[in-house]
Formats: sequence, C-alpha cells, structure tokens
Amino acid sequence: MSQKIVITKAGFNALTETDPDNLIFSSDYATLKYYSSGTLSLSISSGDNEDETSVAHNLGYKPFFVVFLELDFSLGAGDWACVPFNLDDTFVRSTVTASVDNTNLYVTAKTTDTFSDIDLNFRYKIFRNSTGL
Amino acid sequence: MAQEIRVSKAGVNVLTATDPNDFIFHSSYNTFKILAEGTLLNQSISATPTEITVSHGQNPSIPVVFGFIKFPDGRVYLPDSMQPSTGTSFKRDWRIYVDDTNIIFRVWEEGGTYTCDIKYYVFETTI
Repeated sequence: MSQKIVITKAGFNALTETDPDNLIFSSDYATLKYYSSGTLSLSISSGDNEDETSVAHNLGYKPFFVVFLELDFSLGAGDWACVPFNLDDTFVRSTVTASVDNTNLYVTAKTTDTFSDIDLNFRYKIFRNSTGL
Repeated sequence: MAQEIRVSKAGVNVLTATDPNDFIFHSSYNTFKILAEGTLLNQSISATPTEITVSHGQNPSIPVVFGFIKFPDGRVYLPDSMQPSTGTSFKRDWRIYVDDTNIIFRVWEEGGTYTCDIKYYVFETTI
C-alpha cells in the first residue's frame, strides 16, 4: 500500500475520505509553489502602438504565472484587473498581455491605433511550477 | 486545544505567527489542489476559431480550470491573450471554457495556419 499524507477538514476521516474538497492537504495532489512576486511599470509614450517591459525570473523554464494591472486610468488607483486586459470598440483594439519565456516575464501593451501618454502599473506572481511548454 | 500542523517560513516563529503568508503550510488553511493537468502538443490552428476539447474528469462538477498557450513566437501566454503582431494588427487569440464534462479551448487563427502547445490545469473546487 502506498503511503501518503492526508489532512482533512474538521469532521472528516483522514483514513477514508476521498473527496478533495474535504481535504486540507493530500500528497496525492500537487499545489502551486510560490517563487517570486513584485511590481512592474510600463511607460507608454504618446503615438506608440506597442510597448513592453520585462522582469527576469531565470528559472530556465516557462513557469506558471499571473499578472494584475492597476486600473487607475478607468476605475481608479487601487483597483486591479487580471491580465490580459482587452479593450475593443468598433475601430480600435487594445490589449495588455503577459507572457513568459525561459528567462523573463513580459508585459506588453498593444493597440491597433496609437496610445496616449500613460503609465501602467502591474503586480505579478511567479510560481515554481513549470508549464512544461 | 485544537492541534495544528504548521510550517513557517524561515525566520518566522511558527508558534506565534498569525499571518497566513508567513506559513509554508498550515493545516487550518485549505490548499488549492491541482487535481489533474495535461499538455496538448502541436495543435494545428487552421480555422477561426479552432476548438480543442478534453475531458476534465470531474463530471458532474464544473471545476476551476486554467491554462497556458505557447504561440509560435516561443512565449507562453495567459488565457484570453491576443498575441501582438507587428504594425497595427493582432495575429492570435485564445480562450478557455469549461462545462460539466469538458475543457474547451478556442484558438483563433488570423493570417495563416500555425501550431501551438497548450498546458491545462484542473483545480479543486467548483466554479
């Protein structure tokens, strides 16, 4: 019989419980492992249609990550949206995307028109989990 | 007194710490378990959108799912990312959907057939 570590929620039997929703931890299931977090700023100049900045993670593989964008240009400082953040109207598409390669995390702002001067603030989390891609 | 299993970060007193962020593990806090994960390599995107479906194995629940795509530029992108192109156009886009049986990846092709790789995760808890 394989050995495992199981911690259930209160009221459940760790020896018999199989529903993962009733387990606080089970060595049968992987979890996300934190690696790093931080902030990024991207200054966009009037007339640009693409700008990008990056931060090094140096993991040597493409990790699981998430990025949030501060919406001080629409909702006000202190409100954050998940990236990517897309804006569409009849004639213009604009997007803020995030991506990784084996070395860096990138945030990229791109529009089919041109931007006005704006500073974008980001917060990111990078996990040790490799996407394997 | 209720018993707990705690592992704190280095430099933090495991007996007195109360901030969940100071713990590597704490048995009072549920962990966000990955129930399943998979990789779809060399997916040909030749229609707009191309639909790729995999079973998530949690039927009849609708689980939290997440994923990443590697576009031909070699970078790995988040869901709903429109890949920037040169000039003033966008080349590619993709989204993840989930129902009680499947994860559905819709990947858009604009400007030519290409191949991509997808990594997906099925997490504990339903949406």
